[in-house]
Amino acid sequence: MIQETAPYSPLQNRVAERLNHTLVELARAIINTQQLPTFLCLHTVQHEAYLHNRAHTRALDNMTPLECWTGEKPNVSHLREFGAPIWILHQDLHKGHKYEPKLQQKIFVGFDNGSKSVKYYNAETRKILTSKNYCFLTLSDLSNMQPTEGIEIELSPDVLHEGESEGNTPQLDVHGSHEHDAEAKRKWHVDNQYDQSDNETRNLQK
Amino acid sequence: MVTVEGLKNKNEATQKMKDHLTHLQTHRMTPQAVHFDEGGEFILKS
Repeated sequence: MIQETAPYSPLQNRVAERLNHTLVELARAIINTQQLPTFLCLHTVQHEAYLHNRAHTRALDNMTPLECWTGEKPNVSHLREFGAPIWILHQDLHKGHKYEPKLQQKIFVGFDNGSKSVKYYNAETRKILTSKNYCFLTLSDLSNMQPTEGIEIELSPDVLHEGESEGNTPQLDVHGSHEHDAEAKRKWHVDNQYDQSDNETRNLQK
Repeated sequence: MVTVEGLKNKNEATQKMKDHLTHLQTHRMTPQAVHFDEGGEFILKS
């Protein structure tokens, strides 16, 4: 059945027009918030459509459009923020030096539907590329990392300055004082003398 | 279900539409309705 509309009357095509409006407004907000170039608008709208298909809606009794279409609940654990930093494995590993970094930081611009890969924006070449070898590493991931056991840095009481106790966090002495400098020099001389005497005794023993 | 495709020129619209319908058929999915906005881009200019 074909239902025609009058020319120049978008009101009669309200479902499609409303969705276009929603996607374009979201895309505009993302581009301006992330301060991305405007030629990424197509990828932004595609990413918004990707999210829209995985978000529940009242029109489908709180189902997602993808679930209604395929019959399976979509997995949303892989979703990331548009414009987030992404680390991509260098495509031409054999060209560079062996000890150059393997990963390069790029800008995430959406998922490639069906190929289990991501699209990223290379600001140097102004190109959109696709890669499967990627990882997201944010500051929250770094803060959640557990410190390595067995490595503890403690300052001995000799190093602590005046006004500091063992429980306080040591701070840098910006202004400094001549007394501290003189005392430190004296300690350094005394330590060196001990070191020299130790070396002499070792040489004598040899 | 929303799919967004980019077009460099409007004359690519017919081929993109055919490709998309073929893609849906290969995945055993058939659309119930297709909406066009006047569809001027699908009319050949001769």
